[in-house]
Amino acid sequence: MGIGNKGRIEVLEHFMGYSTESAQEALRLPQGKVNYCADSAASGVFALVTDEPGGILQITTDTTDNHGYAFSIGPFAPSDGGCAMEARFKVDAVDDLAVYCGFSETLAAAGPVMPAEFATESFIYNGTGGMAGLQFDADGTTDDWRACGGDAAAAAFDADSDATRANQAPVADEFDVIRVEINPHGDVDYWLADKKNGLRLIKHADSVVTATDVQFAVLMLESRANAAAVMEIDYMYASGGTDWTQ
Amino acid sequence: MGQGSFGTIEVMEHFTCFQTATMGTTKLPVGCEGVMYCSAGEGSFEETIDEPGGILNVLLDTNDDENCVLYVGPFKPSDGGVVMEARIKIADITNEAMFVGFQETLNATTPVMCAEFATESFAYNASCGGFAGLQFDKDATTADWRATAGDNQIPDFVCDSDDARAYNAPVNDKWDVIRVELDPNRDTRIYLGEDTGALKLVKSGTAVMADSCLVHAVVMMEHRAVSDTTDLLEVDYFYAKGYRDWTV
Repeated sequence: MGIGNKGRIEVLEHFMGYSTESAQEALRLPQGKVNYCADSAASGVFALVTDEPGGILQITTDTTDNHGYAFSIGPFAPSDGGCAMEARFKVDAVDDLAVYCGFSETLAAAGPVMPAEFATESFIYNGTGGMAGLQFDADGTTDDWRACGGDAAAAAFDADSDATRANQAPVADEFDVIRVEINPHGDVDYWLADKKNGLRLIKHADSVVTATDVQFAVLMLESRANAAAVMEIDYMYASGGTDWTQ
Repeated sequence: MGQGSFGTIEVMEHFTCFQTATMGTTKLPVGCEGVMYCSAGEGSFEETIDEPGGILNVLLDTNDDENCVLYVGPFKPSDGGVVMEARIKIADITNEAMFVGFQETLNATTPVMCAEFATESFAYNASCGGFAGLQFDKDATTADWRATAGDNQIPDFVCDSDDARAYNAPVNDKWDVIRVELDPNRDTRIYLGEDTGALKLVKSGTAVMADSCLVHAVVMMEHRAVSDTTDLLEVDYFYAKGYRDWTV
């Protein structure tokens, strides 16, 4: 038993109420119960979505290549009873952007870096600490969600080419749900649901991250091909444990 | 079965955490749990500290028809039904009109109250779409809460004169609780609980609005008459629940 009564931390943001006034700062700022940060030179906007029910946050990046946003909850240490994240979102197009959804140990407040990017047939790991998530990248030869994970720019499993494909590419203007679970040992389960189907396991991998390293639950969007990228987020959820040992 | 794990959307705002401020000129959040607001005339928000539990003060300016609407949503009733409930009190019933319930359309800068009551009858305003709720209006000959529901300025049931009265008028500085339920088939039930009583059904209606509409749960106050005094509405809590639309 812990010291106190509240040993489980759970955040579920439906985006029913949020501000559209300030969208770009080189800081971590709240948007609802979720934080966001942006590339320091980015100039995107938040907008209310009113033609679909249930609260939806819309974010548009500027048109500069690689500019983007990271929405985050945390950090959590998987060793504190495991952690999980889930998000439901859709993008306006699949030919001009990249998305990463899962966990990232490092998250720069000014200029957050996507921990993994996919170009042609292989991943590029950006050396940002531990990571575990599903990634989509318009720079891939074949469109698809791909599972990736590892630590300090080293992959924990073969994620290139077709090795960790979901065989279920995102579709413009259709919601996907991604769920990533890290158990207290650092093992990871990757789940994906498209518009027609419930969550299905895409990949399980052992010892992907160091269990005692803290991880942010993240949903990241980056523009590609010098085009504005648009994402709509229906909800973002994360849970983890309180570290009573500190 | 839905795609993901979170099909229920529930907002429960106790107003224990909000920023006192002059209202903005567009749709903005108030509180921490998902309540938004918009306003015509831009009054201010203040806090009540002489009663427990968190209370939001909504202060309107002194001009006729200036208003503020607190809202949650939108929700689609056909996704499993929608419920809202709010506990409110009015400082002075001789200056104000209130609508509490559901309204489809909300303009960001000039929100319009879907139904107003003058003398012995309702007037239904354009550009509001579907609606269901309780209305109080100081312009009525007889002060009371009255139920109304319908779509595009057409009521679903007779609401004029005494037909949809609650026989339970608001009292200055006394709490009322209003709860409105919309079923997936758009049937509605409209409840009122006065200061010392439990919720009682005031009126029910069937298929009161269109199938496809998206509704906002609303608490709306509007100033009546030009006066030197600001209007004050206190909101103890605002609750709304609906379900996710997995089909979009």
